[in-house]
Amino acid sequence: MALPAVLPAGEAAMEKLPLVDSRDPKVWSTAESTVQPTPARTKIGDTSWLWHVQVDHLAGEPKYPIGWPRLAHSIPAGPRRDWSDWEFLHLWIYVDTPRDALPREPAGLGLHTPDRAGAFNRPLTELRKGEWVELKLPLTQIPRHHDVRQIQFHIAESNYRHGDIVDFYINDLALLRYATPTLLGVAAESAVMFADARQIPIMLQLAGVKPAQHAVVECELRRVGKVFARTGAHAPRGNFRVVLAPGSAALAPGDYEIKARIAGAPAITAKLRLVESPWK
Amino acid sequence: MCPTLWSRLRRPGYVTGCVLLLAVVATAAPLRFDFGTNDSQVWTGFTRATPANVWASDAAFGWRSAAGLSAKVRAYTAPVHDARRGSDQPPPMWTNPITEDAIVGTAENAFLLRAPPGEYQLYVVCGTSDPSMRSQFFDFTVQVGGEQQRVQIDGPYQFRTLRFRAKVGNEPLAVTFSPRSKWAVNAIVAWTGADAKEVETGIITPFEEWTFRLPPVEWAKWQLEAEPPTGPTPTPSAADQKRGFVVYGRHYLECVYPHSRPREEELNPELKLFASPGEHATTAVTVLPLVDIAGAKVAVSALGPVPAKEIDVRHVRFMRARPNYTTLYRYRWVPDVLERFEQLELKAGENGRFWITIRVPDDAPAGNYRGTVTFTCSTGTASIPVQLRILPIRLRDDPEKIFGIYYRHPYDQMGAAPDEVSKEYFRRKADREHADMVAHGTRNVVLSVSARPADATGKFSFNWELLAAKLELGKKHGFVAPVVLGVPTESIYEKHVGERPGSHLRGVKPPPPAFAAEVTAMVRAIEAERVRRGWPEFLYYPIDEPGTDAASISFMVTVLKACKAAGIRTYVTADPTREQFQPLRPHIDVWSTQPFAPEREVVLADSKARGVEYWCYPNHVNGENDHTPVAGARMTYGFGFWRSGFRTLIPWIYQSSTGNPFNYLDGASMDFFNRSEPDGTPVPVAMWEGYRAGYNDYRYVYTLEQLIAEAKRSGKPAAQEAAKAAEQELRNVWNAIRVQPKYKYDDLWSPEEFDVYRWLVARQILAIQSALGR
Repeated sequence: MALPAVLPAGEAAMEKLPLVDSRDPKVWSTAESTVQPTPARTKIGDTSWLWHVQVDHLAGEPKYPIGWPRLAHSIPAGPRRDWSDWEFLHLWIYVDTPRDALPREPAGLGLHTPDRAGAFNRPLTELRKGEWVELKLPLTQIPRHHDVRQIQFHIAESNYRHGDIVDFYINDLALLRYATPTLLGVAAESAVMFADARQIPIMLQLAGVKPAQHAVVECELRRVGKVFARTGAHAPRGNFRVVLAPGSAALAPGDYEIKARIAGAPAITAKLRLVESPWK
Repeated sequence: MCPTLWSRLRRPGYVTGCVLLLAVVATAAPLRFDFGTNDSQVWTGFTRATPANVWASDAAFGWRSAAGLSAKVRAYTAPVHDARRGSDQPPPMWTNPITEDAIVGTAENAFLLRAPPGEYQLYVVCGTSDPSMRSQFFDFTVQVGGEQQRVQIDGPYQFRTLRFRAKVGNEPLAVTFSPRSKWAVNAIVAWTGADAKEVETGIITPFEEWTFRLPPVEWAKWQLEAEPPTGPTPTPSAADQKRGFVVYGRHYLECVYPHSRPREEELNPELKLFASPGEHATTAVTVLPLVDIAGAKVAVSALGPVPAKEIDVRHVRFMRARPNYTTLYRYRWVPDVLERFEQLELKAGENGRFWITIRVPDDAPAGNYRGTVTFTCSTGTASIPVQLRILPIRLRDDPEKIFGIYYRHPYDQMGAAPDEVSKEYFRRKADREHADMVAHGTRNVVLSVSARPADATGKFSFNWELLAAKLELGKKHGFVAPVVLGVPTESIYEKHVGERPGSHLRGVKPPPPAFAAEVTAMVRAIEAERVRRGWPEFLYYPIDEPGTDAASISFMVTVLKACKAAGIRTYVTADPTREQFQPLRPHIDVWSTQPFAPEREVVLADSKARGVEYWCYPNHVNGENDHTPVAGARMTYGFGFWRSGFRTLIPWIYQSSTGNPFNYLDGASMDFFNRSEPDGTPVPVAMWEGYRAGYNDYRYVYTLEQLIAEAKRSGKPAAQEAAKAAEQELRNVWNAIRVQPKYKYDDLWSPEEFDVYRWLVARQILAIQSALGR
C-alpha cells in the first residue's frame, strides 16, 4: 500500500516543538563547511540556518579527500531526546547553487538513535534548486526515536563536482503532532484483490492520538452506495491494520470504495479493485 | 587453556570453580585427542596426536600406518591485514586449538586407541583451516565398528562433526578413514556413559559454539537486533492446543521471522496457486509450535498432472546475519536458506516455515487441481488443502533481454585441484549451478581471463582452455551472449607502475604510454582468439567500480580508449547519472549500474541514439547488505525490470562465501546468496526464488505483448478487440507500478498484489489466445 511519505499539510491544528531554538551557531558542529543564522531567506519566522558547502575533492580529511561535509546538532541530555510523544520531524530546506541542477542525492539526513552505529539515514532526494521543499517525516519510520542524540545533515562530495558551491537554507526544524485525533490515510493493503478473498485488510494512518489511547474508526466497503462490509476499530497512533470481512456471499468483481472516518470528522476514501478469481 | 574456562576466568567470581573443573579434567580418562603437529596448540584436557604417533602393541594410541599422513596448521587468532583494502580485517575464521590444525591423509588409515572394555560414544571433528587447500575437495568415509559416515568438505574453514557408538572389547578401538580424495581429522573424543554430561557440556558445546558461531571473546562483542514488530498472537483453538501447534499461511514474499505471529485471517489456510506448463510456482506454510515438537515432517500430494516428486518442500532456515556486508558486532535472525530436510525438531514459540515449489510439467493439461499438504509431528497432524490451476499458456522468453549474474566459477578451482575427485567435484558443482541458474531464468555469467603481462617479445600467455571450458559449459546450458569478460588490466598496470592501483582505483597514478599500448595489445590478442574459436561476443570489463576522483576518471579514460582501440565494446560498472563519470561516456558501450537509473526515457533515448546499453546489477536484492527483500527481488526482476528500459539484470553474485559458508558472522564480510550442499548441489535462498518469480512475471508480460502484436496483425476482428482490451489492462498494470530506482521494501506492491497483477496479464493472454482460436 502507498501511504504518503511526506504528508500534505492538513487543516487540523498542529502542535510544534522547535528543535534548535537558539541563534548561536555554536549549537551546530560542522566539518568541511560553515553555518550561520541568516534572515536572507526564510519560510517560517525571521531566521534560517545557512549551511554553506564548497566542494573540495582535494582537501578535507587526509584519508578521504572526497569526503562528507556535514552539519550536526547534538541534542542535550533530557526530554528533547525523546520524540515518542511526537509524530513528525519537520523542516523546510531551500538550496541555492550555481550548478544547473542538483545531483540525484543532493544531501542526506542522519539521526543518531542513539549513536552512529544505530543511525537512521535518509537521502534527501526531494530537494530542488531554488525551491523551498517541506520535509515532514513520520516518526514511525524512524526506529528508536525515543532516544535521538544528534541531527546531522551531510553531502557526499562524490555526488558533486570539485569546486561546486551549495547553500542549504534550513528553516523551521521542529517536531510536530496533531492536536486532536486525525485520520491521515486509508488504503487497502492490496489495491487489487481476488474477488473470492474472504478478508480485506485495510491500513489506517492516525495522528493526534495520545500514547496509550485509541480513536474509534469506522471502515466500510462500498460499491454504488451499497455497503458490503463494515467494521469499527479502536486504533492507536500511527499505522494500524484492520480487516473487513464481507461475509459468506461472494463479491462481484469490480471497483469498490473503502471509506473510513473518525466520529465527527469527514470520511476519507480509497479504491479497491476486485478481480475474478482464477479458482472460481 | 580450555576456552570455556578462559572466558569464565575473565569474569569475577569464577576463579574457584575454574580450578575445581581443571582438577576434574586432569583426572579424566585421556580418550580425547587433538590432532596436529608437535608445536600447534592442544585443547585443554586433550592428548596431542601427530603423524609420528604410529600404533605399536604397547602404545595407548596411534595410527595404523604413517604412510600418506601430513599435518596442516594455520591458526587465526587475530585480525589479518588486507592489502587491497589497506586495513586489518577479521580473519576468515577464528581457530581454536582443535580447528587450527589437522592431520590429512591420502590413503586409508585408522586411528587406534586403547580403551577399557565397555560401551562408548565417539565424537570426531573433520576439516582444516589451511587456506592452501582451497581447491581440495575432501571426500572420505569414517568408520567405527560397523557404522560408516561419509564426509564431503569443499576446501578450508568448514568442519564436520560426527557421532558414533561403539562397543570395545579386548581389541583397541579403531576409527578408520577411507579417502576418495583425501581425509582430514582434527579431534576424536571417546567416552562412556559416566562421562557423557561432562563431555557434552564441558567439551562439545563450547567447542561447537566457538567453531560454528564465534569464540567467546568475539561473540561477546556482537549484539542481537530485534525482529520486526509483530502483532498479537491469536488465541489458539482447542484443536490447535491439543495438537500442539498452529498452522498459518502467509505469502512467501513476506518474511516470517522466528517470532512472527499469525494474523487471524491467516489461520488454517487454503493454499492457492496458478501457473503455466514449465513454470515453477511457489507457496509456503508456517507452523507455530505451542510446545516443543519432534519428528516434524511435511508431505505434499500429487496435484493433478504434477507428481509429488516434482514438488520440492524445503525448510526455511533462520540465519544470524549482519545488517550489512562488512558490518561487525550487530546481527539479527533472518529467514534465508531453503534447506532440504527429512524431519525436524521445532522449538515452542519459534516458527517453522516450509517453502513449497511446484514444477508444472511441460505437457501438463490445463485444469484446476486439488491436493493436500500434510504436516505431521510427534504431537499431531494437519492437512492443508492446495488448489493449483494450470493455465493453457506457453510462456515466451524475450530474446532482447538478458538475465545474467556474477559468478565465482568452480572451474577456476577445478584447474588447481590436486586430484581427480576434487576436479570432478568442481566440474559437478559448476554443472549443477548452471542448471540451477537456467531453472531460475538466468542464462549468462560474468567470466574472466587471466594472464601475465606481455613478455619481452610482446606475447601474452592466456589460459585459453579454462576459458573455453567455461564457455562450453555455458553453451551446453543454453547461455546467451554477449559475455562480460574481466581482463587483467591491473597486472599490466602493476608491470608499468610497480604497484597495484588499489580497490576502486583508490591509489591509481598516471601510467606511462606503454601501459595503454599493452592494454590494446592484450585485448587484440583476446579478440583474435575469440574470433578464431567462434566464441560469442565479449564485453571488455577492464576495471570494477572505478572511483569518482579525477585520477580514477583520467585513468579510466586511458584504459577504455585503449580497449576500444582494439575495436571492441566496453563494459563499465559505474552510475551513469554521476557527473564525474561523464568524461567516460564516449568510451562506454555498456553501463552497468546498481539502481534503475537513469529513468526509462533517458535510457531508451540514449540506447536509440548511440547504441549504448544499460545493464543493472541490483545488489540491494542480492544479500550483500540484506537477506530479506524477497518482494523487492521479485519486483526488480519482473514488473520493475519491464518498466525500467534496462536490457539486462546481472547482480553480484550467485554465491559469496567467506570462511564457513553457513556462518555469516565470521570473516571480513558476510556470506550471501545461494549455498551448497556437501556434494556441490545448490541450496537456494528465498531471494533467489524471488528472482524466479519476477522472471516469470516478466515472461507473462512479454508473452502478452507478443500476442497483442499477433492479434493486431491477424485481421480477425475478435482478436483485434481482445488486443485492445489487453492493451488497456496492460496499461493499468504499467500505471500501477510505483517506479523506483531500487525496489527493496518501501512502497512496493503487497505480496498478494503481485499475483493479482500477474493474473490480470494471464487473463488477457487467455482472452487473446481464445480470440485467435488457439
